[in-house]
Amino acid sequence: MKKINLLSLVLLTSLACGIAHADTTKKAAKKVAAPAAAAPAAAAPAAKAYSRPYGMAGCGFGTYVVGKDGSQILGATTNDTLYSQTFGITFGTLNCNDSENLATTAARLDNFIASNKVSVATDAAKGDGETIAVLAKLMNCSDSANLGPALQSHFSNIFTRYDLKANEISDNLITVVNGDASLSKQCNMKI
Amino acid sequence: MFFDLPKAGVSSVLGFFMMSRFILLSLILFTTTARGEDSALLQKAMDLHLAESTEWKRLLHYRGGIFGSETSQVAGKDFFLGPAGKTDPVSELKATIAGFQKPLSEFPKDQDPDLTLKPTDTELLHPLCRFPARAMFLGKALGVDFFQMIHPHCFHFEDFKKKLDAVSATLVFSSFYLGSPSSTFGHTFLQIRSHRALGTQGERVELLDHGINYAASMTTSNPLLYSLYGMIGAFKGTFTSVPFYFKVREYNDFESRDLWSYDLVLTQPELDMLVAHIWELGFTYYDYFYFTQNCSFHMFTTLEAAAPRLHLTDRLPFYVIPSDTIRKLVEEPGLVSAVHYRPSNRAQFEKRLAQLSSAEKSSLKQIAVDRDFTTYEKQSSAVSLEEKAKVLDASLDYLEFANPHDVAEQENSSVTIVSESSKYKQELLLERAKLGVKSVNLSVEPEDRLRPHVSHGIRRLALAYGFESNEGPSLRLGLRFALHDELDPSPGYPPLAGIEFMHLKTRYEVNSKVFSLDELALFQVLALTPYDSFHHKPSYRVQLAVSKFREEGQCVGNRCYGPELDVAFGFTFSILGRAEHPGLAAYVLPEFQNQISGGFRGSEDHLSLGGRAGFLGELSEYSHLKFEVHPAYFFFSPKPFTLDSSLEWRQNPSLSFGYGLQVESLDSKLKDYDYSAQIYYYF
Repeated sequence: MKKINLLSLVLLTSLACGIAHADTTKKAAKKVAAPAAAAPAAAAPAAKAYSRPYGMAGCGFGTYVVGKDGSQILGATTNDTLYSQTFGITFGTLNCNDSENLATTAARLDNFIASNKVSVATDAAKGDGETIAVLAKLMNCSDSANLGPALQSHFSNIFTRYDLKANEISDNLITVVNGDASLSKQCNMKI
Repeated sequence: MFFDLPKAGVSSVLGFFMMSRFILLSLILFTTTARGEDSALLQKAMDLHLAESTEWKRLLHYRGGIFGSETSQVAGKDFFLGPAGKTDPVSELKATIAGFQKPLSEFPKDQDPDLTLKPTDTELLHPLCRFPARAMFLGKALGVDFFQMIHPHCFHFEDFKKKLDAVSATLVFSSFYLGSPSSTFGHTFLQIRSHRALGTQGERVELLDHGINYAASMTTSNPLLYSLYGMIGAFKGTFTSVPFYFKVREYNDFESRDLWSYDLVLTQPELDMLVAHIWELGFTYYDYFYFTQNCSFHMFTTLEAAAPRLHLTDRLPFYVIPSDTIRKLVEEPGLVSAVHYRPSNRAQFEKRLAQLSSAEKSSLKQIAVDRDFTTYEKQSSAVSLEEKAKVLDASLDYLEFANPHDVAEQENSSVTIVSESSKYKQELLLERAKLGVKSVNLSVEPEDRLRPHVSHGIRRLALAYGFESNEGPSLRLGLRFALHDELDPSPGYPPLAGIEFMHLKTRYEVNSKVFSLDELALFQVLALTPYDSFHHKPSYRVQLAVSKFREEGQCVGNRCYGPELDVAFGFTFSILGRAEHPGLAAYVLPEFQNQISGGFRGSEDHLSLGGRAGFLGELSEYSHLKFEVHPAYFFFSPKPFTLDSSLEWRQNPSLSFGYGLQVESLDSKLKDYDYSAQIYYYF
């Protein structure tokens, strides 16, 4: 009888909306440790890193909460007790649109890519897609039509490894766009 | 010269003295004026009965209690400027009007744009900056502009407004997905469409919109406490503002749930009020109740506060089911202007799969399921780039929807472990990029049958006349509070599935004149997912009920009552029709049952192993047929083996009406039968 009561409550309450993700962060199927020296792309030119303005972590579209095992998507919506109010996180970012330069562009790209890495990589490989339109917007490109095919042909220069961090992807992206004769004209990142 | 200096000094001292007198005087004067204005405004507010106005009640979320008193549903104390604000609309109105006129000097930090606000810092904000929606309403009603009077900067609110950059609002329904029990009833949240979300060609890139979510903040991971807290409202429910792409990644990609967006027609003042009111709610919290004051309920109360012409919550019963609120939203005149569909990664995969030839499908299996790209590459030298792209695109979609945790894991810069499938996917991405061709344009149009707002009512009344060979004729009455069973009309619900909550079945025996309970199903889920090369999810059925047990020979009398928990897991196979939407499916679900009754022979706690096997057929969206055999072996019973079976057919001329026939065999020797004819009304 006791068992049934417990089960029933769990079942009933796990149905309602908005609270559905109690322990999803804990599941992590079949993982392998990534070797520290995980095969960097063979003989790739040294990746260029661009600077970011100080304190830009929360700039742009709001930031996220990182869960205990690091899953941001879940963290953002599971409402961990520590951050019961994400509104709090959107404060303190008044300077976001103040200056437009390469560093702010890079920071904005970081923010977006950090939470959309999988889609950005897939769209880039396909040469088209919703996230390409966003990247074009964030990099101030006058036209997104050429960006997709360019990312596709430079895919191996941008996504050099499967475990790149968001800022590394942004850096590679900027390098590729700046290095492309027509894209560098279309995308105004104000260096 | 000598004389002049002190003279100048004296005059300047005098001047300073007079100046301060003037400032002091004007300060006194100003304060008096403010006080005078204060009481005049108060008087006007009282004369206009603003405290009883719909607008005020909705902005403060007052609801009539059992004894007619008004109590605000908001639980955070910081939501009220007066000490009695939670229960007294009049005193809160007074405190608000007084608060709005406080000088800025009392809130020095609010005027500092560099201040990093914490959610608990609400008292640092000037009441006008803390409650801009109230100020907008009261200002308009009283014919004053509080903001012009006080000139607060409201840096933080202005920044919030700038971030949302609202052009319009949309209510989004995140569809049920029975693959995971936690998303069974769906979820709703607001999407604030932004000016920013326009692409370089003026197209919408809605990823840059914002989502406004209301959810419970978990304070325990203990499942018992967690459930209990949810029932009694012990969790804090809070509003959060997150980039829309979080919602897309969470629902579309991680949980494979379709998103349905309902564009709302709001006037500019209503939209401004909505943004201002969301700001007000962002600092505070409600008590979260799973079945009443949940996400969908508070989406409605928020919209109602912004647009007093709306009567959304009036349309709801006392319990609130997200999908039900979508139907109610569409019923509201002039509110919804358009409906959009955003397919989940699973729906996208299904679409791509449907476009593949059988040879391409086996390539897909080789690449995506067996993860053997090398062999495919060797065998596919003659295949065109476009065809390769088609297969690779489907493979990438498959890897994404079949490994949702990779998504979560990859969207994370600090993680140091990466799954094998992520590595393999990177390999495929490199190959896909090398092809250098664009993908086939994949416009995933929603099937009409999926539209959640075109669906039968979740409540169902059933009337039946039946005849049981042992007991003779009976009249039966059933009432279901929510939501859908596998024989109800298909539109708007997932195929081959049932989700029921609080389903009461009663019967009146005509011969013995006894009225009795047949069953009270607290909760029942049936999810039949056809198994094939690309779909490996198990099918399941879970039921928790208080039942009348009538399995042959189990009870001391003819029947007995008690609680019951059934859990069945197994597989389904599509016989006719498409895999994701079969016309006829066969299923086998091994089952564990636990039944408890004082009326059982032998032990009062019956444990059994058995199974359910049968066919479920969709003759049309409005006509369904089901045959099921249900054997069971009871461990602690003098007569352990039981067998029952049933055949049921239901026809629905419309979404609100239906009728059906059922035959049940209640014993293994096929002697005891029950025949019934039903009519159904959905509302």
